[in-house]
Amino acid sequence: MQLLKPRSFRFSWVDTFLWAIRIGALVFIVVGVLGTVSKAVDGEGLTAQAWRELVVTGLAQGSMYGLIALGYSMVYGVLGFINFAHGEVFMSGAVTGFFAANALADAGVWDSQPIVGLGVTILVSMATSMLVAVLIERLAYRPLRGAPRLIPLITSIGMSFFVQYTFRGLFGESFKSYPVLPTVMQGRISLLGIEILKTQLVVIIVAAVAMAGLYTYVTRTRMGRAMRAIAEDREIAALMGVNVDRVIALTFAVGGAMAGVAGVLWALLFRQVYFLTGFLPGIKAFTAAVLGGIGNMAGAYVGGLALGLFESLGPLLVLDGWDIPSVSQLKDVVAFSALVLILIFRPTGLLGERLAVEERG
Amino acid sequence: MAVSEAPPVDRRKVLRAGLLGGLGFVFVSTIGMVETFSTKNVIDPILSLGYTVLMSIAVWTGYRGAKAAAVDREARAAERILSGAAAGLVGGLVGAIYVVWINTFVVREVLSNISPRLIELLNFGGGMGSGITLAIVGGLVGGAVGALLSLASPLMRRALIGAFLWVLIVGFLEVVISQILRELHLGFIVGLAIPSVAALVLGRFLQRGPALVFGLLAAVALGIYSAINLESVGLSMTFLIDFLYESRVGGRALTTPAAAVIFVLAFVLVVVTERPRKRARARIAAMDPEERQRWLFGGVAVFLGLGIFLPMLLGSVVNELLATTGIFLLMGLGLNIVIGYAGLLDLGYVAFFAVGAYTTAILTSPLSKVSFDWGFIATPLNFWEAMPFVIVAAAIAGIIVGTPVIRMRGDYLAIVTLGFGEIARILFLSDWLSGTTGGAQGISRIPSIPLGFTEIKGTDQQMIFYAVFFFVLIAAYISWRLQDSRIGRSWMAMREDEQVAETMGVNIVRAKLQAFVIGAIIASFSGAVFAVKFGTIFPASFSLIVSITVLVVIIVGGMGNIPGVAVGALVMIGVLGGRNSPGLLREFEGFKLLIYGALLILMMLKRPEGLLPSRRRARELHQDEALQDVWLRAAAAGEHDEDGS
Repeated sequence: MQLLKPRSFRFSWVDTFLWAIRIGALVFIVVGVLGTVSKAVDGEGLTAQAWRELVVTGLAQGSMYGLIALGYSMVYGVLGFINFAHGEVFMSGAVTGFFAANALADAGVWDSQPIVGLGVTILVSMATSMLVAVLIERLAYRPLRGAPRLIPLITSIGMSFFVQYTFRGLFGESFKSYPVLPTVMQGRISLLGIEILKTQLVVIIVAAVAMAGLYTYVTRTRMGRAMRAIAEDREIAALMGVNVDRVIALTFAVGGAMAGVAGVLWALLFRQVYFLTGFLPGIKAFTAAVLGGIGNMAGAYVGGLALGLFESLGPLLVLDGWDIPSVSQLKDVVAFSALVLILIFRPTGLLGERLAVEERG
Repeated sequence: MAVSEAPPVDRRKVLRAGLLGGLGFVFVSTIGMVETFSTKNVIDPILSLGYTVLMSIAVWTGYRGAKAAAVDREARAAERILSGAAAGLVGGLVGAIYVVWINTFVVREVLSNISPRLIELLNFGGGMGSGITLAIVGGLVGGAVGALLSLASPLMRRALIGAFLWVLIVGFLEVVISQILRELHLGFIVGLAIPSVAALVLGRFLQRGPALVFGLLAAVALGIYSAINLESVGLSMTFLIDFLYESRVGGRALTTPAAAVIFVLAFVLVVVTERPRKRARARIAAMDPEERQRWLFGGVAVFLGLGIFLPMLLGSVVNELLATTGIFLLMGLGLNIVIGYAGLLDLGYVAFFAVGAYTTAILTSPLSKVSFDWGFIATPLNFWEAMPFVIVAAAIAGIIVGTPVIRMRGDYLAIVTLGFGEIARILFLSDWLSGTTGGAQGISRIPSIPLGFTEIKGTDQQMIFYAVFFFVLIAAYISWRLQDSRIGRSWMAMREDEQVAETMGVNIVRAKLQAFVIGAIIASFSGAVFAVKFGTIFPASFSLIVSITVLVVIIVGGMGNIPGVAVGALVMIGVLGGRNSPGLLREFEGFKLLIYGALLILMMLKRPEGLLPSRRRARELHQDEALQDVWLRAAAAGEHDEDGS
């Protein structure tokens, strides 16, 4: 952990600058919020219902980010590098899920048995994402064990483009629209006095279930224990009889499966997928992982939810208070600024980083 | 003769090689590469690029399969050929199954690139039967050839592969070569040769500074003189063009006899020059620094001469390509300082490029809404007046991006800089700043660069190339001077180990910021020329792909090495094509990023130091660092345990 603390107590101008950023950011946010509040008092802003909807939208998107972030976090835990290609793992699930959903819709299952239809789609998507993740690990990362740490990172950037354009080559570059949702899942439902979209509810529930399943798996099973052991110390784990290569492959598989679930959830929220779908959610999910504390599984989920909320509320709550026009364009700016600010304010993330071996550099 | 018990052929390896080859075949066919590449003829009636790819896969499969057989070459030749052919056969069988599959089922609904045209191509014109036969026979023969290749001596192998590559290169560079041959006149040769010789000779007597200046002046004077006077004494080379290339519907390609001649020539050349080349390399290694410097310097003079005269021979298409290559080379030189020297993986480098372009555009375009009048200077400025502002803006951007990330670790730094790059692009695009930046419409009517006696118009590709070349020279000079300077050495120390460097007295904060600022300024030059070249800039031109492309350029070329970056830019941008601009191989357009990605992976796996590496960097990457890492990790783990108890 040493690297994350200031190494000396000299108060250089860099610290001054960073403090200036911290204070400036706080002032910016507070003034923005006050501006929005004063607007609301004047009766100009959004209605209470609209705010509630924004919160739910944020939670739904956030749970999706959280699921993808798990993959980043787990891989970072065992291998200590950012698997940049994880966004593509997510995309591969989303795109193949489309073909499954289409076939199911043609067969009528999608409408008559929505739960079965959704379940099968998710399974197909999970399987593809798992396969892609494991293949990536086998082909590109395994030969690089022990290489200087920027090398796997650059490899993963290459892998990301390779997978993207392979999918473009395979399935074309058009947008693929998932079939229209069964009527049961359309419209809104009233929950605790809040009207929310049913799809968003489904997304939140499915993500929470997947997360709970994963958590149980990692904390309760032998393989889960092996995974944690490797994250703790790879060499010692190997000495204790853990098959390191297999467990690492398994980590990729599990992370991939979660990304596959997220792929279908993305389709529920946005309907359309194509070969570049993975890029932005991938980076956002990485942001979420850092936000929650990378290497920390619960942190990934919490970070995802937090990022989703920042993204949906941030523009309207903070930027609107400054009278910036068309704030929704700046959604991604809010997300990335959140990343920069979190790393300045609290580099170990919300729940703290859990990395056993701190590597150099 | 002691014949040792030779290990048997590793059948699983043969099988694996074959299956991999088969999968490769399926892959390139399914993603549409074969179909697209089949439109490019390499050797006129016989060979298209698509078939070349398939053939290479077969040969490669055989080569790998042959390696599964015993190591002892002489004793086991037959076995090697057999296992190579077997691997080829396996691959061919996979291919045959694939051919049957695409002939029987219509899968185009899902796999959009399995088109009737592809099926026709894989059937080799005939029906399914001929497709199957040819896949199997082709696999078998290709495999055997690959096995033979593995039996040949290293020199032979290199000569054969080299000769084949030369045929491909001459085929691909059809546009450039015929253009040069058409325009070639004595003036060019004289203009290039005299100053190079002069610089080399003078280098023996003079200090390098004066010799460089003299060489340059001589080059310019003689070049202009000879270009004017000797143009009429053309060397008619058109017969060569007619011999080399043939026009067909699918573009011009090598004729069969020309291909044969080139193959033989290149083969002989590789074999004959083997010994002199070895000797030359040994001599270069044994040279004392001063002598090496003199040669280096002759090389620089030749490069300058080429840079000045070559564009005169080339048409606007190739010149535009060169200009684009130069723009990326310029960015590559800047990023090389940030990543190659200082080891800071910056994925948002495009932001600085954008700052340069936007500052130039805002200050020089008459349509810009920003205006000021300070008496001695008033908007719209001209290019040179805007330059100081561009530099200052870039330096500020460098500090803004650099300061927050000073305390971050390598991979966090990568993602945060990527975030900054995206923030910059979205802000340029947003309605919020559209008063200044023009939003999605961007800024248009960026004027040309005034030069006093003439001006550099964006549409004049040759002049744009000169402008880029000018800035490339500046950037290369800066990089070269910095490399072994105090700053350069502190960067290298930092790249190796930040903590140790800090302990040894390197001011990490200053070193990092210097790297960011200098890198940013060089990128902003590139952006400024880019803005003039296109006359209009949009936020869409500054997406993440640009950063990645520049990264690929320096990684493929060789990080930390100036000629390496140049090679990388020529190969990646000139041949494959950069963003928005097709390279020489237009057929690659759709697969550019796929190939970029594959190249990044391959380079990292096989040759992380790049094609033309810096010697120090290569050594680092290969042994020292690996050893050191293992050792350090062990030490760190030990330390952690003590902390924990």
